[in-house]
Amino acid sequence: MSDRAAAERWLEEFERRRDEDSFAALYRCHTPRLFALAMRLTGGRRRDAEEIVQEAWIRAVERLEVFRRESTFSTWLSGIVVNCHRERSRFLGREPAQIEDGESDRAVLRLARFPRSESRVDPLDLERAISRLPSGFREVLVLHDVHGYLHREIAELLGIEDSTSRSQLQRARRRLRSLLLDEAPPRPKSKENGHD
Amino acid sequence: MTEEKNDNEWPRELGDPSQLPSEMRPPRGLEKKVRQALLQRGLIHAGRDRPSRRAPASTWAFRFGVGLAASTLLFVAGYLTGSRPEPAGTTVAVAEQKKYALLLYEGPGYDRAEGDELLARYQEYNLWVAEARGRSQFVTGEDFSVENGWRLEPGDEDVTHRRANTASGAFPLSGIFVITASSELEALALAELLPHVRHGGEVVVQPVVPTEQPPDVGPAS
Repeated sequence: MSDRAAAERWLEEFERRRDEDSFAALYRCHTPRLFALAMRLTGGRRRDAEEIVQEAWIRAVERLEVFRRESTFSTWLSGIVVNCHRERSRFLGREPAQIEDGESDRAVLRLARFPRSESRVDPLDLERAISRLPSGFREVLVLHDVHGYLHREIAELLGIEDSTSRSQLQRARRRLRSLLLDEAPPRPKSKENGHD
Repeated sequence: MTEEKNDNEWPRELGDPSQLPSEMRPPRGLEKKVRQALLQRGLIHAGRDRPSRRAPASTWAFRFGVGLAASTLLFVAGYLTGSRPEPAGTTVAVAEQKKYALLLYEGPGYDRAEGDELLARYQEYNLWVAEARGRSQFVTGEDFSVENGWRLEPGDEDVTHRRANTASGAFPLSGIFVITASSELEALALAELLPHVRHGGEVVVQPVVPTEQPPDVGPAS
């Protein structure tokens, strides 16, 4: 059974039974992805991410009847996470884009446990740079480039136009590139191009 | 990245955000918190109706009979064994036990628990202590406040006090256990079971020099 089919089965099971056991299965199926999204949206604030995921699940179960299956359940949940994050940021009156303290650094360190690529930028630096993007840029970039959502899905999740999502992504990438280039170590000179 | 990405826009040398993990392990206590919140709001039902697994009465009667017979047999066997005099001169070989200190450091990869997670983490350490006690290997242990330590640095004329905590770039000692073990290998095996190791911390295992036998400092002059 594919992951998607399994997720669908857990959802149907939960809708039928509405008990702790069926919720546990649904929770375990979706939460690692929701938590990763919340961690990135909050710029690595673990406690905030935890609160957001908890609130998102409460809302999702409360409003399950209005889930119309026009998107996947996972996408619908992600939209709730994004909304919870926005509301929480407004409530706390802060721009949730900065890494400010040791807690966030530790969170980012945890984020960095994945295979390294051929890139000369350390994945840790990439995570850190993403967490430093302004909130609006970061939302679009995380949803599109990290979590693989399409512009039309992002438009629906964020309540914006497709075109806005595209332009925000372009600007977010430009900003991310400048953040990375500002911090990246100098490129080693190549002997072939005669620069040394 | 998704099919919508224009690769020309993004230099590959700057890394690929789509390769970042899209899933992360949520905090251990979160599932319970969410379930409790849903239960309190009446959004889910507690537990699940499971079919009864009680055995029929006749089975219980049979089990009771077998149990009674077995316990009677064990009692008689135990009484006979216990009343038998031990042969003179019998000794039980016990390996010599040495003390080892387990020094728990927070390294750069340590996943420090915060808030509600802290209680769960304490519980993990308690389980480890129970395990060490069960093996008769536990001696003592202390938990240290890692953010409030000081380092004394002796100079030529004065001693400088500096903060020794994570903010100062140090990886402080966050706890200590003393255990007994018959060998270094046994000590290492018990140390490996520490939750500290599982959460990315570093542990130094050091033999304790017995205080009854102070280290040889050579002949007195």
